[in-house]
Amino acid sequence: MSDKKKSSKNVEEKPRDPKAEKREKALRIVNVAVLTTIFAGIALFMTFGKRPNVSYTENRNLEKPPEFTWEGYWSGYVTDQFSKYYNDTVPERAAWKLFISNFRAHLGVKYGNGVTIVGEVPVIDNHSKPDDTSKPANSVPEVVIKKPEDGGASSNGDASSNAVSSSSNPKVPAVVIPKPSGTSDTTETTEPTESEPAPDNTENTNPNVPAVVIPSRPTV
Amino acid sequence: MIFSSLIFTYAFLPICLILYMLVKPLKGKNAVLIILSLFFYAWGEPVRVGLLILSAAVNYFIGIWIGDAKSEKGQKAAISVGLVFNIGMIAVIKYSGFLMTNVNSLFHSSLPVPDIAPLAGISFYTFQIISYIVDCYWGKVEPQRNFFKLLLYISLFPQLIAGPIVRYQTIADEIEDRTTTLQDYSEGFSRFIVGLAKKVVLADQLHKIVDSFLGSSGVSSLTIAGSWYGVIVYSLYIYFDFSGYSDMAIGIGRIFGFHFNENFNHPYLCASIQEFWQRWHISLGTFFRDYLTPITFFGYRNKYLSLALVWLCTGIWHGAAWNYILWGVYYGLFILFEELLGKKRIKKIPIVIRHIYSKLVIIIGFGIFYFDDTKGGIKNLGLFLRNLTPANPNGALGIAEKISFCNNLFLIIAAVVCTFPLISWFKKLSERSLAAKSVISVSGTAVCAALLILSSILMVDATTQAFLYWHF
Repeated sequence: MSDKKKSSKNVEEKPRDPKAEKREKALRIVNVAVLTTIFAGIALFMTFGKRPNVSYTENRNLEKPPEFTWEGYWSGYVTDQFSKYYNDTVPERAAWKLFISNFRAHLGVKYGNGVTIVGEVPVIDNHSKPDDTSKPANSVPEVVIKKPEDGGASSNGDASSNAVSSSSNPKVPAVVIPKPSGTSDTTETTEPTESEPAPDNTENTNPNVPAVVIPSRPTV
Repeated sequence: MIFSSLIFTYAFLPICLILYMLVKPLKGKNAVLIILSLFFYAWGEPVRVGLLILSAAVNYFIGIWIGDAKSEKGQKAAISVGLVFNIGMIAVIKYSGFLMTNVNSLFHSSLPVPDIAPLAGISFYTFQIISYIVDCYWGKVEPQRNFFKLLLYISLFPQLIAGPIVRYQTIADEIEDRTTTLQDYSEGFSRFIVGLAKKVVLADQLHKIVDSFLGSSGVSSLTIAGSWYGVIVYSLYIYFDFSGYSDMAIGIGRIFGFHFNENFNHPYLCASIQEFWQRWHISLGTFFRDYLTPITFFGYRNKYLSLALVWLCTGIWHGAAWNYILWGVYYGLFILFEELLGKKRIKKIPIVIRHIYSKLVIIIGFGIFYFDDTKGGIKNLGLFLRNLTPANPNGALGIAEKISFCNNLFLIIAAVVCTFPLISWFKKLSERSLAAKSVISVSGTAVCAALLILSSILMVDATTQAFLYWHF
């Protein structure tokens, strides 16, 4: 490349007085120094920080590093598994996961007054008998009560995603189970965990009575 | 290995930088970049590296054949072989399955459908190679006589998988001789962080909204507002995803002393579709402009046939599915409409109307783009397009979009604001005085530092999405 072309790429602005150039250079040094220090700090933390092998909040063993074999390498298993291991066993992962959950909970404002009733609300006749068959036995419960202030993830970035995923009809979510704070979307589960047994209040034995979902208690 | 992963950012990239800085001669630096680029490409699927090297080798000899051919006939033979090889390779790997499926359904036959796994980045690096051999044929560049230098151009990891489509002439001189200045390092690093933040802080969060509205099987039950909301958020997502990748690629390239061309120029500020394509995926648009429009039909050029060819190819390039072809044709029709209308007449239309028109076309266009075969294809696309209109049987507004919009309000505002050229505005502002420059520069460093930390934490989440354009 000619010098003229090269210099036009490297120096985008017109040459100014020496004082301005000196200041500009100093500012660039500050920029490089600050960003490199943070970058190197995180890289060192990732490399030498103690990697956990169990997640107590998710109640599972974390990914393990792969054993190297040429066969595994050529099939792509070794590198894929190493990526999973590296990402899954980040030092202090529980703290970062909690931060992510809180971050997502603050991507917007809470809708309404904190309680959202979704779908048509059936009128419950107090005088009707328990075996009232006026409503089909296989009808989908239509009432969902959400209390976003309970738990980080229940008021999380996308409440509708919970609603949509739990029913084929996005307008009528069947059951919404707010996630305990400190867990990511991928860890959402209705299975009990060691540290936090899932409440058994979502079970609805009588199909005529709409399911009232009581949010799980937030993790301390 | 995706750019927005911890393993790339905090394992692969630091190793690259350390090795690159430890090795002093340029030959050694080039060797480091080739080895690490091949290692990067082999991650997760080592077999594909063989095809990349084969392609580089074949095109290396074709370049030399073109350079050494003494007659025009010989050059024509060489370029023909090169084009057949490169287009044939991409056709077999990327389109043969699609083609055979459609042949079978059209003629009710049962011909075997090849099941070839898609190769990440094949569309990008094949187009780079084509630009190289065509430029050799046209005499724009000298054929590269050193195989390893050509391999470096083709395999250079920052732009290997999802562009920008870098022309050989753009970096030919930098392959021979380059240095990384303090300005390169500073601006390259900042650019990389901005790209990472676009992807991890904005695109990945927006993707969750898109998934919950367009991604589920509930497309048929979306309300009018829900359909529009989903596709508008998708338009924002795709911009931050792809431009984020381009920023990261340009930034990393700069750290290693390469200066790639820009791939995006704030496309949503456009006031016409022609302008949109001058601002969106610039490297692809200029590729088609430079290499397809000179093609003659029956001996002479035809503007409208060229237009049809360019937009058909633009659609097909994005993927082997009918929605992509439809997407290309859709844009081709609007470009044709604007061509027929003429620039003078378009300029007479009030700017607000022009902006509304262009945004509507772009947003609906991305709706077409979204519904590929993995998302229900043409059937779901039809339902989605119906749901955008008053013909939607599900009503105008539902609770799901109200909740989602409120819960993601700050994210959506941030995304919309970031479509404007904020960095350019601040740069202009900093030109006013030395004090302003210092304040803005230090603030920029602080913002970049905060974005780096935030992006790094968000990358811990395993749900980080791969870049959309990796599939192409």
